[in-house]
Amino acid sequence: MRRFQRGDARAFPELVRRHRAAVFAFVLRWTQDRARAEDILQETWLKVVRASSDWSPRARFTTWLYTIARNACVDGARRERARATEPLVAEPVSTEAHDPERAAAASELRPVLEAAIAALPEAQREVFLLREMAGIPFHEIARMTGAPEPTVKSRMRYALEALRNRLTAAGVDAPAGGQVA
Amino acid sequence: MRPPVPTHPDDDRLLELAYGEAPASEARSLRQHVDGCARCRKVLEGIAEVRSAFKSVPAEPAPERGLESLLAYGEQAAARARSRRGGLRILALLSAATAFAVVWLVVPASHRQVDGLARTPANEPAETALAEAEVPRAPAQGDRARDEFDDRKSEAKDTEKKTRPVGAPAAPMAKAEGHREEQPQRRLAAEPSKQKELAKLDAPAERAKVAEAPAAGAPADAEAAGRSAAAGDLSGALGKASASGGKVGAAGPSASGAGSLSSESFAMKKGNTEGRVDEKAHAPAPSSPPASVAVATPPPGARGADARAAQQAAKIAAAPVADAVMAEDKDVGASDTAVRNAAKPALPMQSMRVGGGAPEKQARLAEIRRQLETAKADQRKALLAEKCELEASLQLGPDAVLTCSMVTREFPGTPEAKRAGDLARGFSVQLPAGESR
Repeated sequence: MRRFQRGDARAFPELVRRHRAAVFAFVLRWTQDRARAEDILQETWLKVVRASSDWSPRARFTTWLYTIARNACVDGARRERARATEPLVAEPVSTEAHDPERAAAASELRPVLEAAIAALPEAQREVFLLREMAGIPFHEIARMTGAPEPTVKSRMRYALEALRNRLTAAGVDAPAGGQVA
Repeated sequence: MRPPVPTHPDDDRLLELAYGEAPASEARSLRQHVDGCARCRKVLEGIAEVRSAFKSVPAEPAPERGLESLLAYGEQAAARARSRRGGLRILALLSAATAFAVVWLVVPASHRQVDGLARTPANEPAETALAEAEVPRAPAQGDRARDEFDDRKSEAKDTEKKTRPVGAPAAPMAKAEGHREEQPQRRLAAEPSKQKELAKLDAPAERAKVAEAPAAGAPADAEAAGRSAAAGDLSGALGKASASGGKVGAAGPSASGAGSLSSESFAMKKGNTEGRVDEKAHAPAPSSPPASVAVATPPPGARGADARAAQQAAKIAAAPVADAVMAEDKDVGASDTAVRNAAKPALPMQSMRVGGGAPEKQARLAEIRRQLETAKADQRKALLAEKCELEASLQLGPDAVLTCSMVTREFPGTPEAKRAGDLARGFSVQLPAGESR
């Protein structure tokens, strides 16, 4: 990012290559709508370019990036609510895994998991996705969202509990190898 | 037998442990507890299960659509950043030179007044002659600088006129600039041959001449200014002058401090706002007077109000560029930076639409934005297409790219989508005039 700030034209494609897919996955899980997710993804990166001069090296780039993405999601959701059109039908999310076994497991698990995530209250979903997908620590999520850190942690606990209950109710066994970080 | 299990840790602590955020020492004790506590182990296993399930579902690949225009836009932004940085550097140099010129032109007045005050006693000790002899050089320095900068530093000239009208008595502020007097003193000490010449200038008639014909002193000064940069030579010369027992010798300690002005005073000032300007000014700049280094040195000890005013004037002259340069590499507290940085991008899009254009187009854009809130299907297509056209025509780069990509995405295969695609692509790769890729 620093290179990009200094005008290095090769730096931006590198940033995009590293983070675009992850940001898209994050946004898609947030919005549960592919078209909207694509719009928000584009909007996020345009904002990254426009606001690049504001970024300070002392801030983690990923935190900054996901803050932009998160805000774009929040704004997008607000706009959607205000638009008051007929409810959008989310496109079925395609399975793209290359490993057949993994693909099979994912195809079984994905709809349950996506539905479980979609069913979470927005505040819990936000914390869960920021921590789980973006890897942002709780204290930084607290700053990003403006919620106290203990609140962020309890939202996370509730989200984890709700997801676990959903998975159990759907009869999905958690894959082996789940370990405490 | 295991020791009795203490009370369960807070669930938040377990969450931190699960996500590796617990401090090392706490994590150890938590793990010890979890090993012997079924309830806490179950909590951790529950978390691990969900995480594992979540990770087992591969993430969706990002779409390729919009990538090309995004990269083109990024490249354009990088080019802009490059040119902006280059422009800022030049601006910083010019501004710093202006600032120094202001101070440079103000300072010599002090010498004249100091000179006047110093020569008031009828019986002056012989050793003060040396110190006095160099004093009249100051106006010559100022005049030289004025000659150099007059044509391109009208602001500096105005300040100079206000502060030191030609032929008027020197302003008291300069009296406080004793520190700055040391430079000519050292210069003088380094070149005894100059003393005679300067002594001549001490005569009122000569001084009047200098005041009226500023250019007269310029060549000698240019030479002296060049020498002033050599701090090592100065300190050596100072030693000689001290040995001679003159006033210059009395100025030893502070002069040796000033002796380092060519490099150390710069280094010291890099940490503050002015330092930025100084740093830029330190870069080779043919027009900047070498001795301005001494002028920019913060005044030691007691200073007159006017001296501070002179410094202030210099700061004001340099401030905009210093700010701009600071903004480029701003240093803010680590803890809040992410949030503060993110606050700007989080602003609504409207706040970033700063492109100029016909007011009617802007009004129409606002109208379209309103209509888009409720528009459906065909109406939405038409509105988006129009918005795309308008934004492109108004050079609202990012907005145009975003809107046009929405048209292509939402209404693929339509003529509007084709047109929007062309507009977005065309817009993305165009560079504003004067910019190079």
